[in-house]
Amino acid sequence: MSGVSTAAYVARRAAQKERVRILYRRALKDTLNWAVHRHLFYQDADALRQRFEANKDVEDLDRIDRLIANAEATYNKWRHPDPYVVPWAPGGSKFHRNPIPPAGIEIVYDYGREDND
Amino acid sequence: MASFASTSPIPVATLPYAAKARSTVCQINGFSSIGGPVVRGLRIMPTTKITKAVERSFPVPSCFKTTISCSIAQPETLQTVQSTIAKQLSVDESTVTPQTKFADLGADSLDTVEIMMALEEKFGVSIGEGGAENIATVQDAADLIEKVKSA
Repeated sequence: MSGVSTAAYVARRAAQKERVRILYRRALKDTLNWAVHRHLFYQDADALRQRFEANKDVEDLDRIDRLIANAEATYNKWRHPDPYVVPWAPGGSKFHRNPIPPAGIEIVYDYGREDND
Repeated sequence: MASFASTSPIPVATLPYAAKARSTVCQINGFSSIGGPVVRGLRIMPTTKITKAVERSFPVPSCFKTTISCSIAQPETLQTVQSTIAKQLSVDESTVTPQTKFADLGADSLDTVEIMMALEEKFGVSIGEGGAENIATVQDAADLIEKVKSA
């Protein structure tokens, strides 16, 4: 019984860690969307990190879940409407703009000079 | 002309993926002996054949990509990754070797997120959210960057 509960505890804890990691990643990216200059971004990023660090030592699983849900709600509320996308990435302005032709395809400029006539 | 058009798909299908237009021209030469009378103005035929070959060779890029994604990071990529990580964690660059784990450098999971974001900005690439999940060592990070760069 205790083995089962320990496994459940570990699984739930791992899921929470993953949620926090993804949330922090999104929030940090969003910080860069709002604060477009480095000297603004560093302070905001530091504040964000402190908000995560403040609840670092919480042990109660249900409370952690509530904290994560609150943080995700806050993130969703403050999401940037027009986030930065790397130009070559999906959604970027250069995505698939000039795709490299498949291997084995090349242009042969022999129009009118074919050797079949 | 009609019989000519009906036989034309066969040599196209037998073209190898890496076929060049030169071999297409050879096929045409073979045609003039097989297919009987050659109609004047058939010169555009090579062009259409090449486009057909293009369509048929579309499966190529997918297997091409899978071979590339297994590649090991280039030395200069690894070097840049190492210096970026050293700068991000404020540690000496000599302590960051490819086999070093982020945990050994005193980085927790949030630091790892920051490192991956710094690397994304440095290389101008975008790693998906699940991409940085299993990154434990410096070599892992460099390999992931290399994979995303070549994709």
